[in-house]
Amino acid sequence: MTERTAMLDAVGIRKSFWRSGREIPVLRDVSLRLEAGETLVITGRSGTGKSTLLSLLGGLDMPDAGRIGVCGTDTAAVSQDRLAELRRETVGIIFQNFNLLPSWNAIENVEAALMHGDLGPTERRERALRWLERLGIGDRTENLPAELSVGQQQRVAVARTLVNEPRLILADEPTGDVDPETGAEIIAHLKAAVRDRGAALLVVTHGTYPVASGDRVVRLRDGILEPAG
Amino acid sequence: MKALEPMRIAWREQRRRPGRALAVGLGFLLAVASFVGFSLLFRAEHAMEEATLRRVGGYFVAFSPLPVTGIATPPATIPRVRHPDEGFVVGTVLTSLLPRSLGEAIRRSPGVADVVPVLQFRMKSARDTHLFTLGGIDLSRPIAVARTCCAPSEVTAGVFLGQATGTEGPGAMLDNGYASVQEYRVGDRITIGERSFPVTGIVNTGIRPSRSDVYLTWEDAARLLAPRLEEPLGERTGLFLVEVDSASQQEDAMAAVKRITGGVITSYNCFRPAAKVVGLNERAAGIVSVLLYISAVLFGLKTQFGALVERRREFGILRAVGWSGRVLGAQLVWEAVIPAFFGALAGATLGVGAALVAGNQVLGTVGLPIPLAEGWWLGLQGIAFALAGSGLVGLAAAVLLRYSRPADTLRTI
Repeated sequence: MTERTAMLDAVGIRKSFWRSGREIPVLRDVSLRLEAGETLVITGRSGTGKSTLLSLLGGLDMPDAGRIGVCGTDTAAVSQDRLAELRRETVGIIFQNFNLLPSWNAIENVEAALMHGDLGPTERRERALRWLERLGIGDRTENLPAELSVGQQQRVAVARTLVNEPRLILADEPTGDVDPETGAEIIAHLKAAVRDRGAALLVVTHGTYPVASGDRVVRLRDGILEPAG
Repeated sequence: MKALEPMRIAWREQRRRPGRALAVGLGFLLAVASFVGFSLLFRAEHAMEEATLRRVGGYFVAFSPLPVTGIATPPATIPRVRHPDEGFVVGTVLTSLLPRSLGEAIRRSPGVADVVPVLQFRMKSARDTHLFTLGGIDLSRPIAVARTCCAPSEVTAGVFLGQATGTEGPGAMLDNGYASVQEYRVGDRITIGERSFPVTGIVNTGIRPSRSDVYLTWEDAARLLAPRLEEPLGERTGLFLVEVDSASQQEDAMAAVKRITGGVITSYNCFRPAAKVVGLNERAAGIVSVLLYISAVLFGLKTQFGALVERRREFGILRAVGWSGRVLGAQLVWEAVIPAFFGALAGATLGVGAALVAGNQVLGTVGLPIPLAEGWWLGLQGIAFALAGSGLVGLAAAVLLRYSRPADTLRTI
């Protein structure tokens, strides 16, 4: 039996926001563990803190309390630059609203994830093109995001996430705004990453993602994770 | 290569946002062009004031008056003349004699540009016993002589003293007024004391502190005066003409020379208001230059910070996909510096060009050139200022970026 590595290990996460002097608790006490080759689906209604949780797990924000380990690195114990390096080399994030750079064309958006790594400009471009072709938009490389359909933008976002072959994939509604056919293709690519490379996949969704594709499904309610009903 | 990646990306950003790059570059262009152009014009104007000042008051006369007690204060000595109506003078004041060697000490005084000894002797004419002033000048100091006594450009007939090519030596040069009254022309002969000289030139000097009626070289004057003195002249002179570096230094130079000679200093007081004007203009030029520089930096700051705010989300995305704050910071510095450099380069060229055109229109009328070499030096300064200022702006933006979290800009996550 192969020993499975913890790609994500979060314990006792708390996070609140302050609005007009009033504390709004979003995450009260969240703990989770995700191992290599595993898919975890977190469901929950809009506004329950799913995206906030993803932001914390990706090192984009810091929790008020608790500890988050990403591939063995305590996110609170390292610098912002080290966290950026961790994201570039290990973590891929699919954002709910794609977060494409509006003035960069499709291939440049994908290349952005490869910048400042070990690859040279030619290799970067070739690899980005390969992923865009794999996702079926190899003919739209020079288009700006505004010139692409929502589904095509989502494919560019997925290509940008997978181009680095991350060991941990954090996906926020990866099929939220696309048609069922495109959604199926995206799911296939994510599954392939898990199956072929042993990546860990965490998906947060309010229902657009097929929960059955996950190894485990939990629900975020009132800032606490609970087993999905 | 990786180290240059931020520069390459910053360059790409300039092309991606040509409008903003143009706006930033244009700001620096105007700032540096104004900085260089105004500074250059101020300097040219300052040079003009200095030149004007030198014509009317950038020099003084140092001498030791003849004491009524008959006892001179060292280092001055009393000249013993054979004729009671004759003597060494400055204007109408009889003077003692000073060692010529004081010239070296005077030359080393602060603010002194040059010094020349002059023999100015009031004597009787051999023709009709009228009194006139003989000036014996040291032609080895042509610049000091030109500004304090008489200049080749002031010759109205013949040639300047020492420039005659005849076999009789340099001859005599006459003041225009004296020549007119005594009816001398170039080519005539004038008898001074026991010697006769050809009149080789006539000069109209205007107002000068050591104006004489007849000019001879120092050597001719000394030989001519020898029989009129009861003791050899030796290495002594009647007065020193002192040229100062600038009007603003004249008072200091006068005080220093007075300490050396122990005598009297005479000067035209027009150097005082002129010095103030020059000082005021120098201060004004300095203030304007500093204000322009600060304006350029503030403009860059505003534009750069505007860009930072506008692109907060973009930076957040880039950090989310793995760009470090250090890399983005370097990119921001390059983004600030690149348009500033090209804008400043164009501004420096424009500033020098504009100063040349404007300067030739305004200052060219008084025959003063724009100091072009200074223009390029100012241009380099302007570019350096622009690079330093924009670099600081980029650095400040980079620091702010570094201390923010990506999630601050990606709230929808």
